Parts: sequence; C-alpha cells; structure tokens
Amino acid sequence: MSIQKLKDEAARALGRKDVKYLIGYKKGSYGFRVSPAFIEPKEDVDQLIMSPLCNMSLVKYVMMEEALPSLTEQAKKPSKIAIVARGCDSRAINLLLEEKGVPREKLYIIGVSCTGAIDQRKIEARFPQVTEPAEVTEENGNYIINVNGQVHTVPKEELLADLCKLCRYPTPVIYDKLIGDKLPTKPFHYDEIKAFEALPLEERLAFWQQQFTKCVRCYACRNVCPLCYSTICSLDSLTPQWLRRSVDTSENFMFQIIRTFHLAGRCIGCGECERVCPMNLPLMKLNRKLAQDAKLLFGYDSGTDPKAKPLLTTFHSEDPQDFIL
Amino acid sequence: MLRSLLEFSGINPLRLQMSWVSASEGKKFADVITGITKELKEIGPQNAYLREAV
Repeated sequence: MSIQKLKDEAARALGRKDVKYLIGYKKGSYGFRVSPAFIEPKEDVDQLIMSPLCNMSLVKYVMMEEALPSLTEQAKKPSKIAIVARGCDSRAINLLLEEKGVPREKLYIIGVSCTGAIDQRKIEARFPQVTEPAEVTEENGNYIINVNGQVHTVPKEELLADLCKLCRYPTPVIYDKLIGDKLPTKPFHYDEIKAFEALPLEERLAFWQQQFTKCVRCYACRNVCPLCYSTICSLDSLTPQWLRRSVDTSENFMFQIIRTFHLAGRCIGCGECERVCPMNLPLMKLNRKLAQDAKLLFGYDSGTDPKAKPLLTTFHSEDPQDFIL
Repeated sequence: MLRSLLEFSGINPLRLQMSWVSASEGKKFADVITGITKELKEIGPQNAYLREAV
C-alpha cells in the first residue's frame, strides 16, 4: 500500500462538494504514538500517515460529531465525513449502518487493506523511553523501525497485536475507494475461548475474580468502543441505579457483564477496549466468547453485511431455545 | 447468551433460569418454582461477588 495513493485519494475526497472533513491518522507527538487527524483544507493531506503504528479505531469520532442545532443550518453545510477505515473499522461502520446509528450517505469511506497493527505495549517494552517520533514500515514479514536515527529490524510476529493475529477480515468489507490489494479472509476460529470454557467452573470464577479486582472503573473501555454510542447508558444511570459508584469486585463484575452483554452479537472484535485498558484486563476474552456464541448458535457474523438485521432484535423459529425450561 | 456469558465468567448456569408459564397454568408454575428452589438448595449460596455492606 502506498501512502501517496492514500493522500491522493484523500485530496480527491476533500475536493468533493459534499465532504466536510476527513478523519485519518497523523504522526503523534512522541515515540510510537499516532494521533487522529481531522483534515479540512485539501492542502493538509500531507499530514496523513498510514503505518503499522496506526492501531486506533477512528469510527468513534463519526459518532461523536456534534450536530448543528437546526435542520436548516445542517442542510447548508456539506454533510459527509470522509474516513480512513481498516478492516475492523469497516466492520464497525457496517454494524452502525445495520443498526441505523449513522446513515450511509453521511460517510465517504476510504478503505485501506491492513496487514495488522503494532501493539503499543509490546513496542514500548522493546524500545523504552523513546521521545523522538519514530517511524515504522513493514517489509517481508519484518518491521523496519527507525528510532533516534538508528534502524532496527524486528520480526513482525514479535510486535503484532494479539488480536490482529486473529483478524479474519484484513480487507475492508465496505468502502467507497479501496487502497491496497484485497487480502484473503481467514477462517473462523476461537480456540483460546474453547480452551478457557473447558476449565472447571471454580477455576474460571477464580480467574475472573482476580481480573475484576484490578479494574479501576475508568470507563475507558466503554468510552472508546465505536459501538457504545447510546446517549443514555445504564452504567451511568442513577434512577434506577444498576451499579454503585464504589470500585469493588462485585460492582466491577456487574459493570463488565453489563458492558459485555450490551455488545452481545454486536462486538466486531477491534479490541479497542483492551488496548486502552490501563489495568490490562483481558476484556476481549468476554467479547470474543459472545461473538463465538453468536456465530455458533445463530450463524451471525457481526459487521460483515450492512443489510443484515441486528442479531438480538430478530427472532427465528429455528433459533436455539434450550435455555427455556 | 447471558447464561453462557455468566457460565463463562464462573457463575453456575443453574442460577439463571427462564420458563414460560401462562396465568392459567398454576400447577406448572408451582412445579417450575419447586424445581428451581430444589436445584438452588443443592448448589448452595453464591458467595463470590458479594456486595460489600455499606
């Protein structure tokens, strides 16, 4: 994938009359950080980057956009947002379209074939205390890392985010323009979930109790999730108060169960929650468990088809009913 | 799905049960409740994730 192609395409998108601005990635202020870029004038597209360091989802920013107060004012402004979307982002967009969270007309999607993003924690453990912005490119299964003027070559496997290793759709499933080659779709596999399910009940309980004790309830997992866009959230609600404000294992457990269950049949597995978690909780284990259930019980693969109906709002007479006694 | 999620996180799935009982099916209602209480007595109280007294 060439960065020039992306810049050209971004400039073309911004040249359109109906596009308001473009959301992409730009260089972060230090180390291996990458920032989201909001680009309005065409001349600024040179800021754009696309590298294995781009590991955040930009879809959240589409949902956070402030609407102008009146419809007439809204009609005067161009309405489209152009967005740079990788495979997982495109599936999040698909799910939003499915749920009618955002209309298709509002988006101009520049799809980018993604070969996986670097795990920030892994690279920072490997190259600690880097303050100068570093550059990373991918070549033949290796990352070429340019830090403080020195060039390092690291095998891709060592730095690739764990979830990217499990990614099934590296090519965007929905786009207006695709940059890069189409990559093959990988088969369905949830081996690590199966292995965890096979453990005895007490061991699983002990594992999660230990994990949920760590949670500090910063709500980052909810705030970063591209699919948690409700304006009224049961986790904030005071009447009725489903959760106490106190941080203890019991409340944390409820918090995570509610959060996970609200993503049942919706989570597209981008792993943003796990990425931002300051306490390194294995949140994707819960999410992937429900994704596996959705696939095995209902044959539903979230975010792959914008015309599909959201899983938990539909009923089929063939649905499994063994939970009813 | 909630049931399997709870089971996954280490809660005995018998603690969450669901059944359809019509208002006219008094006998069935009694049977279902007796069944559930019997099962729950066997597995005993849930001591994990107890809410701390305030």
